[in-house]
Amino acid sequence: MTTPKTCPRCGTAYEPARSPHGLCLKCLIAVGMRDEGEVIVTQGAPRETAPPLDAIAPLFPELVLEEFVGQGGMGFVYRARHPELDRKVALKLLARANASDPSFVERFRREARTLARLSHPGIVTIFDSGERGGWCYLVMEYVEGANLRHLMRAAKIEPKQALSIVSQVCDALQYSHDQGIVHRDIKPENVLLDLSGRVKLADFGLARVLDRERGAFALTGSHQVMGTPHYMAPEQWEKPASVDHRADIYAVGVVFYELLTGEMPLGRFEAPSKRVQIDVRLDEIVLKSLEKQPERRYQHASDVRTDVDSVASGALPHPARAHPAGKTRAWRGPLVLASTALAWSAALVTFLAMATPHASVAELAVSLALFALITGPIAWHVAHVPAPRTAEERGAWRAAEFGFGRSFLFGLVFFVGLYITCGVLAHALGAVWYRLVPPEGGGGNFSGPFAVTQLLIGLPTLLGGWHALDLSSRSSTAWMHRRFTGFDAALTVFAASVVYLGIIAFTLRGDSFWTPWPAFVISGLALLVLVTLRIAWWPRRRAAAASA
Amino acid sequence: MSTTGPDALGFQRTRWSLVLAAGKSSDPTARAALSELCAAYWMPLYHYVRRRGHDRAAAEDLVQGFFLRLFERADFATLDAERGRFRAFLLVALKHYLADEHDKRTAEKRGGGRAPLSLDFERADSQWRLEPATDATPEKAYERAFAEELLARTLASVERDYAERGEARAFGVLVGTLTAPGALPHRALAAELGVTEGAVQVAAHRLRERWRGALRAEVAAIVDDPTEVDAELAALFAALTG
Ligand SMILES: Nc1ncnc2c1ncn2[C@@H]1O[C@H](COP(=O)(O)OP(=O)(O)OP(=O)(O)O)[C@@H](O)[C@H]1O
Ligand SMILES: [Mg+2]
Ligand SMILES: [Zn+2]
Repeated sequence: MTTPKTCPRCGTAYEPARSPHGLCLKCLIAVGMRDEGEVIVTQGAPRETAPPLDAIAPLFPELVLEEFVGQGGMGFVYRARHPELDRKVALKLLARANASDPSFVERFRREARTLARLSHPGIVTIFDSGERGGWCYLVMEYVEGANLRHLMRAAKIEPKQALSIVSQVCDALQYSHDQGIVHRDIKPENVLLDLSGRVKLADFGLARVLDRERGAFALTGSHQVMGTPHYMAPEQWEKPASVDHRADIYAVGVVFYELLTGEMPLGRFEAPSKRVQIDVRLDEIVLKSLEKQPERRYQHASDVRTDVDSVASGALPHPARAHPAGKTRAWRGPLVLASTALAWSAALVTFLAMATPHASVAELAVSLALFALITGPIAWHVAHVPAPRTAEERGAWRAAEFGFGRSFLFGLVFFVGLYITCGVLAHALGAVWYRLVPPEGGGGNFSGPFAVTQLLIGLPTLLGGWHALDLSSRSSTAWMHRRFTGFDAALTVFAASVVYLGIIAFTLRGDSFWTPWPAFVISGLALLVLVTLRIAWWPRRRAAAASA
Repeated sequence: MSTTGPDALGFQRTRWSLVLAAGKSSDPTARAALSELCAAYWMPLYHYVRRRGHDRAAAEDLVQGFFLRLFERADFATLDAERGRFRAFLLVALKHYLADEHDKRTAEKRGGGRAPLSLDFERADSQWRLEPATDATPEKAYERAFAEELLARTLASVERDYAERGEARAFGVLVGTLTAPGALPHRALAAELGVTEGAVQVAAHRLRERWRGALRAEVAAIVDDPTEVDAELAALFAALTG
């Protein structure tokens, strides 16, 4: 018996005498698997690493490189700023190892040419391309947001959202098909979503210009199959040379199936409605897109879109509601309202308590209650947020944080409105209270015109803030994260309330009528503690996740 | 290589699907297809039987007897649950046979008929002796041997293709790039073959695509539906793990 060998690529120990040519059998088999890359990567083998920013920055003096965004089969993607044009761009570098392969370089160049011909809101715009320092590169529109893979990992996407995404993908595809361009690599990584949830297709890198190229210089030789395996139509495997736009429709079917069920339609798969509770009409659309023979599939992307839209507009018989995620979302509004109302009844009680003599104990108690109400949920939230670990997770995180930031702003507006409105009500209540229990030094400075002015400012601000808050949480990509639901929205409103409490505490400093100092000081301190906690929490959670 | 010609739909029918479609092994084409599959994949059965504790002579008898029965009875048509995959079917059929044999205890009656396949037990036994002394279950040993057999066969067929076109040497030099793309210095390979580095890269890429195609075709031949290829590949991959 010979000595066992350890495969340098996948780390498996094997007996070379038992394997043909002494090769590692697992790696040999992996070449034939659709997701070869994934298999190898999960085996812990090193992939080619992205060049550091300062290594490539000198090559692109016109750009300010900011961050490495991701890596795919084609190369590396960086986020950069173009100070001259004052916009964010994505820089895509062709992996250097492949640059000496002439067919690869040609494929890259063609990606640039193909992309440059397309102009559609649902397609990533290309600005510049060429070759520098041995790197082929592409400068394109940077899509702030996340790709569909990020979103699918972050949360189970609801059927309604899946419909909207598929509809938009089909719209962009129909446009490119009309231009005679087949994408050929539709997959979640190439479906980008900007922060308002709009779809942008990236990487027409494998697209083939149907009319130009036939016969002339076909990069796709008859043995050479390109594309992303799981999403490839059967004919793309069998006869790659004769692929047309219907291969894209197949890929859309795969993405659709995955969006609805969270799984790939592999082997003899079940209809989506058997796996999750959705409108059965969606089965037909998905299965028709996934027909093995192109002739039996949808013939146009626009037809898929029409059918998807008709299901979407036909007021789904509340399939979403049956979904657990649907429930969470339905509770968002009431949750925000209820928690805000609670906080405000506490504030009103504080006011009433302070308006009576010897109120200091009550005042303290109510301030503490207020504090607990504001900080408790924040503490809970901090404890339950996992830290992003990979570049992909950070992508999803960024999308969520923007949603967070925007909600915070709108929450602030909402809160200002709420405060003013409640202030008027408090004034009115106070006036009634003073009538019933006249304080010693006389008092009660309630005036009618003042109240009306306050209401005129407060009510529209309140309603506007609420509306914006609601709209933003519905349209931003953040709505796709199950984590960012009613609870998060409520939280941001509370965080906003702490800030506003501070503002009020400063501006009303001299006012004996209402002094929110204690509440502000306590909640402000608590916020500080929580921020510290959060910072301290991250590395620990990361370590825990890594060792798990 | 292992698929029959495309059918009217333009898709490839696999050999296993051919056997299943025929339903009865009395159909001559199906019979031919089945015996071809068995001739290719009998060795894992030998591993299984040995792992169950039989000695060499008994294992040879049992495997021979199993094939006699298989071709006599066509009892594969009744094994519904395992229909989809030849690999699973073969093992279940063997298990049924072994159970029957055990009940009947008719060891002396075996060997009466003519073996439908010529089986090289010499090779099987030397392979078996290379098997590391693990405590793997017989099933695991079978799965593993099956994956090994499939890979060895397929690689041999690719090698034959190269040899037929007078590129045997290129194959020998490049075959290592299959499992370690980029790890072998292309320059050294180029010097060895007396061609440019670019040519080596292209050739390595072509070998990779050929291997990929051949492997998928071979797996397609042992499942009843081409869409099962990936699931079967994953199963084979898993069989090689641990
Ligand atoms: N224009 C862009 N704006 C923002 N992010 C982008 C842009 N293009 C790509 N990305 C991000 O960079 C990641 C890597 O992209 P890349 O295209 O190199 O790989 P991929 O899409 O995973 O695979 P493939 O090479 O097959 O397209 C993508 O997953 C995407 O999230
Ligand atoms: Mg991409
Ligand atoms: Zn390996």
